[in-house]
Amino acid sequence: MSATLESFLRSWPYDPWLDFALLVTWGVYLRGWLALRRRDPARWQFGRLTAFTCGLVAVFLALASPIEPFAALLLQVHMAQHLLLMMVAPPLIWLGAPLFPLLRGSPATIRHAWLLPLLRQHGLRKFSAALTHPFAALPLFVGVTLFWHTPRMYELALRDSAWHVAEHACFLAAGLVFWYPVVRPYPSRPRWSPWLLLPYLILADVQNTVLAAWLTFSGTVLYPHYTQVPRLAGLSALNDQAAAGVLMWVPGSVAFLAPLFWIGVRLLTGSPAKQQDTIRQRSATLRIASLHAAAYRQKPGADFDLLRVPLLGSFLSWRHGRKVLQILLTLAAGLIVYDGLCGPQLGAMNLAGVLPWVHWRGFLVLGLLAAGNFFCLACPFTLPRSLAGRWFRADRAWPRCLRGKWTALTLLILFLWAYEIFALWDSPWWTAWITLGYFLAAFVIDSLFRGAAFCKYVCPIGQFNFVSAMVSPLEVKVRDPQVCASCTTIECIRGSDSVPGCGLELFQPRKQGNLDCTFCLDCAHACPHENVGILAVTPTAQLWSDRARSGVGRFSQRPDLAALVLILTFGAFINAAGMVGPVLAWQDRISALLGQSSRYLAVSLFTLLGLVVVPILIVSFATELSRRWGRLSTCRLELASRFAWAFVPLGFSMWLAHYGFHLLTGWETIVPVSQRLIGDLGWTALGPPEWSCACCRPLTDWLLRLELLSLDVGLLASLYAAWRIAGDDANESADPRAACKVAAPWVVALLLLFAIGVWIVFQPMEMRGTLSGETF
Amino acid sequence: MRLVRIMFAFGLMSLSLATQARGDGGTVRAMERIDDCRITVFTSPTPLLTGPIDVSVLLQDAATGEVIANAHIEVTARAAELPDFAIKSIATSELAANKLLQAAQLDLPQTGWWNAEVNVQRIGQQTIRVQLEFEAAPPPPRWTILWPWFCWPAIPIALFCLGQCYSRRTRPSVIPHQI
Repeated sequence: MSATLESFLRSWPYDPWLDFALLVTWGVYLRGWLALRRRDPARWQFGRLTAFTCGLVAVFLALASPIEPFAALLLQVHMAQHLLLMMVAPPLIWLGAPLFPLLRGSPATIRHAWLLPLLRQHGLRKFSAALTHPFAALPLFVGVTLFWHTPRMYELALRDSAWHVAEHACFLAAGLVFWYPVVRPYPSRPRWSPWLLLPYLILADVQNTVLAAWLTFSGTVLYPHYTQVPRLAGLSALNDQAAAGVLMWVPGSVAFLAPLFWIGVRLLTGSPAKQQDTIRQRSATLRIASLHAAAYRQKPGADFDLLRVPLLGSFLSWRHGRKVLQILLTLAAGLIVYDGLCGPQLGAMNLAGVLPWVHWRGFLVLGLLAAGNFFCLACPFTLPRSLAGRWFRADRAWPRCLRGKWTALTLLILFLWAYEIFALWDSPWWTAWITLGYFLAAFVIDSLFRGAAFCKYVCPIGQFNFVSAMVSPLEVKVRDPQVCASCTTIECIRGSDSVPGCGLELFQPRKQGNLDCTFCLDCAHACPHENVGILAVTPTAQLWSDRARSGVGRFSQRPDLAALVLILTFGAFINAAGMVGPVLAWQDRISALLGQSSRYLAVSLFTLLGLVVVPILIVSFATELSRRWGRLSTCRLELASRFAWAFVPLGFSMWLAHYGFHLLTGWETIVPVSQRLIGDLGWTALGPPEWSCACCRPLTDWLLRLELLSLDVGLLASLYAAWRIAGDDANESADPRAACKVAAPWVVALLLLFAIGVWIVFQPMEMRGTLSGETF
Repeated sequence: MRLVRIMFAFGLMSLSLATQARGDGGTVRAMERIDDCRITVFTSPTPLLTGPIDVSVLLQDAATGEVIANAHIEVTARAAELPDFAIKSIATSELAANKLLQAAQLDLPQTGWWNAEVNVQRIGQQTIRVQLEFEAAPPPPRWTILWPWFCWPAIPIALFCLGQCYSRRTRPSVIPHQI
């Protein structure tokens, strides 16, 4: 094999975003296809799946195979790439009849909230019918082909990668439009004669032939780019151009003439196309109806249940599973305390400066995003509770005046303020004492008061987890409500002889969402019917509900919860803003203006403004406007208490972007710190510390993209939650446009926060918890 | 849903493997025939900016056009203003997306004109030297490149609004009172 050919075969460019898009599309299609095939295997045959898969593979080959890097060197390879995008991928994709599988395979919330209303639109249907009519599709296809093959545009695409992407997108889109009337994928219902396809394909072939002949027989090189690049295998630019023309001519014509022949034969032999069309129409209508029906039908036990996953489910269901996890985390906490008090007082060199502030926070938000509140499940601070239960009689009730989240809220504000003022991330000593304080507080409170008073009313970390878990995809909930309806013993809340009931006073049949749930699984262990599981739920779906919840009540009646949500949301932005260059410079300027030598006053001012003043102003303003524009009679506090929940996804996305950033840029710091700690303890098995690992990685574009993606998704979920809450409130009013007016001020507030979040992630960051201390 | 999540996870996994190295050619900066070789030097991105850049080299047999692989290629760049300050890097095919090429990554710390030298060593052959100069412009603000990443939510929001406008015409209430 020649070296050139070998190099060609090894040249696979890496395009992660394309791979991601193709994999997700294929996954959604496959999921929908499997669901549809279960109901109608005759219609949803393997052929459709194969065709769709091949269509995506053709796109992959065009854009992420050796064809892509060689397209800039050889015109014939570039032509092959365009043929794949225009002639191969589109008909294969349509042969897969992707509309229903993609609809059925997409998440139910997205399907019902966005996709189906969109597809029902008369205007959109009319537009797509007009676009895919042969009279429109052919000029579009020909126009796009000729436009991009003019030397000026072709050169532009070769020079500029953004234009190259635009060219490919145009080719794929034009190909999809052109092949739609030819393939007529199920459930399309063309209203024009199929005879129209004969001149349609002939004219397309004529255009293709003219363009191909122009390329083949031209005496000059039409695209000067190819005269400036090195020639491969002794092929001149002119010969390469002629070969490209032949490639366009022969396989291109086959692509047009083969379906022409097939359709012609079918029409001439009088195949029962018309009859099939009628059946298709009826079937399509029925199918849409059944899709709707199936989406609302939910069989008990059909949801994903983590407790039924082999090994992991067994471990979690095991009564001592939680204790094992708690012991492990207690050991980690012990090491943090030891190293924080006895180790070097430099955050990046100490376990207390790295493990909690870089790793634990990152894994915490990732765990909440991917699963649920599993940190509370493994919380080391509540391990002493079981000891306290043995030694003391914790029979007092938590004081009525402290029932609510105000205590935790105050502690949370104090913590966020202290974090900035005392640079907790860089103070192993403070970190160790906070950890010890946590153990002590949990032990004392749970020794005196019954239930899980510390978790419910005091713990700031717990409140963060409770609120953030509202966006988690898993929830501890009842498997079959019918079983609970006939249950008289209610062990899930009362407890049994060996297992306590829910210490947070959440009665499973009436529990909604993850709020106040520590995932301790006491309810699951206590239930004699094994009717409690960790089930899959739609993330964020509980945010807009104002039903009475067990142990929580109605959101509209809980201003303390609303305040907690707002502090956590604005806290996310304040915490992230506190590490960017412009904000630090602003704090320095304020300090200088106030004649202060330290930042204490400026930081306190900044924290007070960001955590208290600004949220109060924004929420008051939005509440007032909501009431006025929507002509609502709802009490201001109730309205604000409900809409505050719309901020949860955006706030969580900011925490995710911030903590994810630290985890991804500083995860290696654990290596030298562990080596140092082990060395200090007298073991040399891990060798000397590799302090080069303690320097953070630079902020690459892909990390910035992930941060932006997190904010984008958070914004969309928040806007949707605001819309749903507004829709619920607007039903009080007779004006159908009231929902828009009610939601508008909150939408503006969310967009403002989103813009601040985007600004923050683009700023140079102070790299905390790393040795470099530089800004990137 | 599990299937979509698995696909999503695979997708994310592929994203996590993304690197900055591209080495996919770019603009032809020099093309010379020296002895029995034809050497072409590419740079990317276009235009060249401060920060990481790729310098890719294609070495061919001048007579046959066949690629000459496994040559030792070293790229050295010197700022025109500071000739004593040099950045060196070895070009390898591993760094190149197009394996015909051998690519080197250089991190240009400052704007202005740069002189680069490409040294090609082959066993039993004389060293080939190609010199080129280029100007590195200051990089544009990141947001000018990444704006689609924070502007795309406008599309689903617009589609959603359109959908709601349409459904409002056909339904008595904005959203059924189901919550």
